[in-house]
Amino acid sequence: MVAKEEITISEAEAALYDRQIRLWGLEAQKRLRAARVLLIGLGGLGAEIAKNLTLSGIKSLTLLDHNVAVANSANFLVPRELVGKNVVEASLERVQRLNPMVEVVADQENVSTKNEDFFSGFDVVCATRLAVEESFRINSICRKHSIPFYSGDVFGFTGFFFVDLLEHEYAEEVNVAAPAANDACSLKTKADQSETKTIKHILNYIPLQAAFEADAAAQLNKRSWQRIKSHFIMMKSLLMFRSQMKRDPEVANRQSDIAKLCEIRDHIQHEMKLDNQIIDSGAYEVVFGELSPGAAVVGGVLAQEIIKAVSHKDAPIRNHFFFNGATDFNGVVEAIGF
Amino acid sequence: MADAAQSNLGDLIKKSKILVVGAGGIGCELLKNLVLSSFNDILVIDLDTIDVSNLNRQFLFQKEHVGKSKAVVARESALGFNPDVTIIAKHDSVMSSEYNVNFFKQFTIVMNALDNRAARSHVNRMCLAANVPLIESGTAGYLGQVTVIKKGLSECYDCNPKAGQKSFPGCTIRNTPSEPIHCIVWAKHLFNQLFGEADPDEDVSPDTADPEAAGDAGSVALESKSDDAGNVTRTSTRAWAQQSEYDPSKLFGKFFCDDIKYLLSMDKLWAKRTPPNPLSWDQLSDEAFGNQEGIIKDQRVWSLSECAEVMAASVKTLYQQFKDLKGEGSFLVWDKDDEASMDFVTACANLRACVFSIPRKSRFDVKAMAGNIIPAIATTNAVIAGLIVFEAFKILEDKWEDCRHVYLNSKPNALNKVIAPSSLDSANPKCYVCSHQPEVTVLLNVSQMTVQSFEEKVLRGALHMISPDVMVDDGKGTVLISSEEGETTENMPKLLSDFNVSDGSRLRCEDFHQEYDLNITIAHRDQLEDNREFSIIADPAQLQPKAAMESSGPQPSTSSSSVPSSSTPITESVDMDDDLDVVFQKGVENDQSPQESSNRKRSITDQAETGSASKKARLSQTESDIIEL
Repeated sequence: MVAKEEITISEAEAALYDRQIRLWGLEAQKRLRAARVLLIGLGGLGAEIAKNLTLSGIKSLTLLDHNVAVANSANFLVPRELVGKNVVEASLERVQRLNPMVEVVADQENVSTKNEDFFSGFDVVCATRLAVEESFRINSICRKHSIPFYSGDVFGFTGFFFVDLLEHEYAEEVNVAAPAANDACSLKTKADQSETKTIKHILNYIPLQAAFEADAAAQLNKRSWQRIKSHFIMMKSLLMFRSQMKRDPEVANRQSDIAKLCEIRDHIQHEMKLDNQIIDSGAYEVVFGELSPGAAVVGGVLAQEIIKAVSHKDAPIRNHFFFNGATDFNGVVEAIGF
Repeated sequence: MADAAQSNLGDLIKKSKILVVGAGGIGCELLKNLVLSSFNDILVIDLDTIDVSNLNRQFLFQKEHVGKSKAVVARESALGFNPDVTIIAKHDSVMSSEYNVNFFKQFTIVMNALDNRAARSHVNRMCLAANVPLIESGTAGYLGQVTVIKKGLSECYDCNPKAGQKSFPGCTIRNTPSEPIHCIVWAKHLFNQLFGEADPDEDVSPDTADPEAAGDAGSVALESKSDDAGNVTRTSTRAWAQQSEYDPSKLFGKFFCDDIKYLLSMDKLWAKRTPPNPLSWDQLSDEAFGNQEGIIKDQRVWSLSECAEVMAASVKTLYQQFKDLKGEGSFLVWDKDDEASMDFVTACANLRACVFSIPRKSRFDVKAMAGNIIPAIATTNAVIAGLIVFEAFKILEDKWEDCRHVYLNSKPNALNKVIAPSSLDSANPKCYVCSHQPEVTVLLNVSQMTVQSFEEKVLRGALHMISPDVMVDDGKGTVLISSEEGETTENMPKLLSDFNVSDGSRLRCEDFHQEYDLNITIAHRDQLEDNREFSIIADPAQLQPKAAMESSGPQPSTSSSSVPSSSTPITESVDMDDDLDVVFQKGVENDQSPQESSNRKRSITDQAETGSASKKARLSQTESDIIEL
């Protein structure tokens, strides 16, 4: 959780963050100012999250990725001349330029070498491009240290993310009926028309592994399942492909990769005892590469969720978000595994 | 990124030519997405320069760019992401005559990333005239939306009536304010009376013609004599201030004591209201507001003595600036980012608030209301810019049936959607822009409105024309307004009635630049509700009989008029950042007619998020159901 040290917002910060302080308030900005975020994986989605969080004015952002920067990536943080270098090293300068007030830390090690102590130094951990088993491991370390955990990916036109906030308390402002406000020169400032009341809520979350292994078709009501079934099968097959193949689908192997994805899909459907085919092979045509607008959509929603959780303001998503920019154009939320 | 897209789409992207209008919050994100998606022929236009308060989201700009052209810097930064593409940057207004219909015709798709209604409306017309698809977008705080506008296929930007800026009756501002915003509007008017472009509609002194105070008028006038229109010292506020060289104590005495005593003498006003308390310059409380530690300077609420001090200091600065102006008839223009201008309005609004027992506001809050600031964040703009590109893909592939009007919500709607697409609505057959023969009816008083006001306020201000030509349809072809410089200058001060324009007259308006023709029917009214100067009715079926209209009953102006107008808008220079203008908005208290709202399948949601300044209900759409959240 956010450290309880006294945080003050300077006049320079107030000027820079004016338009967002007007939205989420000074208290939320102070909480952001204290948040140390670990971002694992710096592809197109990671770059979007890094940009959005750095602009928002968190305390520190640690970028962790051992991979090399590739050409034609959706990661706009890598200057062309640095392609071939470590992606974190290549991206560092542009991230820092986005907001000199944020402490940006580069870490080029492989996340698999990181132990429990490493993770315990953060207030939020967000992972992209990981094998799902590695995400399970990090998520369980985060749980031990009460650290909110996010994991997300973009595959072509589609994307999704998962949230585990353990037990999360947040405040929500609701409007209540207006009392007659009239004695103004007295020292009480009343709201103009209506008064807002702050209500506290608590939400419980489950770990990624439990959600990933849940039988969503059995657990969700019919309407919910109907709404997300194609997204769910898509997410699960893509993550299982990554685990089995140790890579993501590639254009160079388009036909064989689609065939492999269909094989995994059939396996998933068999396990879930689903008779009707939920997505056809054509649905996998759009999962290659990492599309910039897809990364922008998923990275925008995901970063806003992190901001929400850090500031303990407004209801966070529980616990999956799916987006498909090729079929239904929905950005839909579902609680899976509860 | 050619990787991800199927090869056919990749080719279409490479062959396309894109116009991006606006390089602000959405524009920066959009340029990034476009160059990373291999769009390689882009023109970006923006007339704005970079401000510090942009940097929390307009990520193509850094501190060293403050003051520079947004379009130029955005181009440079975006090229850094992909040096292979061509981007042309124009530091210019898209409304300039250089950008005619032929200019628009060269583009495959136009993408709006704008922050004001006039420019949106203009680009809409240019795209309709050029038959180029337009992707329109807007954000406000956590909310955003994207839609596709295609001639003959979807509704256009002007198909939906949009609520005008919230406005207040003159007598509320001058005589009986009851909310902080009334005091802020008054303080801005005071600024203009003293230093700015004086507008007779922005009088700040007591309004003796207030119908509520009828009978009192003139009987108890103090020092001042009222003129024929019932206004005290109507033309002489500035001359009067100049006599004393803008002595702050004299200004204070007039506006916060003498004028208030005069208002008190209009006793009918105070029968059911708390009467105002005149303030005295040398007896002001310096009592501070509770515990104000740990908050930023601007969020502190000033004591009365502080207000007076700030007023005195800002008057001094502004008077100096005013005197330093070169040339006759120059004046200051109020700007929320100018320190003295903002101080003056904060101090005067709070002093007036105290006089009328209205809660005082911090400079931070006053700035939001006076400057009409819409809060803005990076994430919303990023999502919206991503969604724009997905719509562009569908347009390029000719998949028009897949195009959507997409909303970004601040929380999942009843169908669990944070991003909620809906089918495009078809065009409004009575739209005054995209219908076959565009028509509107304008209600006004022909023997009070000048040709100049008609051109500036009605044609340019409300109907968003750029260079109108107007002919009276009287069989003689009388030219009222010509877009040729100087041709009709002598008509400007004359009244419409001088040209025999009367109830039922038809005017043929043409805008050569916009390739837009509009027939206007004049409906004469001696007086309009709330002392409005005019009202525009897009659908003549909505026009009420004259008698009903004048019987001071509530006028359904928001449901019938596409462009309600009034003499007292909250702000003249709207500074919304990528505002959510494209949303069909309505005032919270002015309900749409039920028929209209059900036709449009929309419902209110998310009122809480729009912030204190915007006071608007958000309308949201879902695919199939009407769901009220």
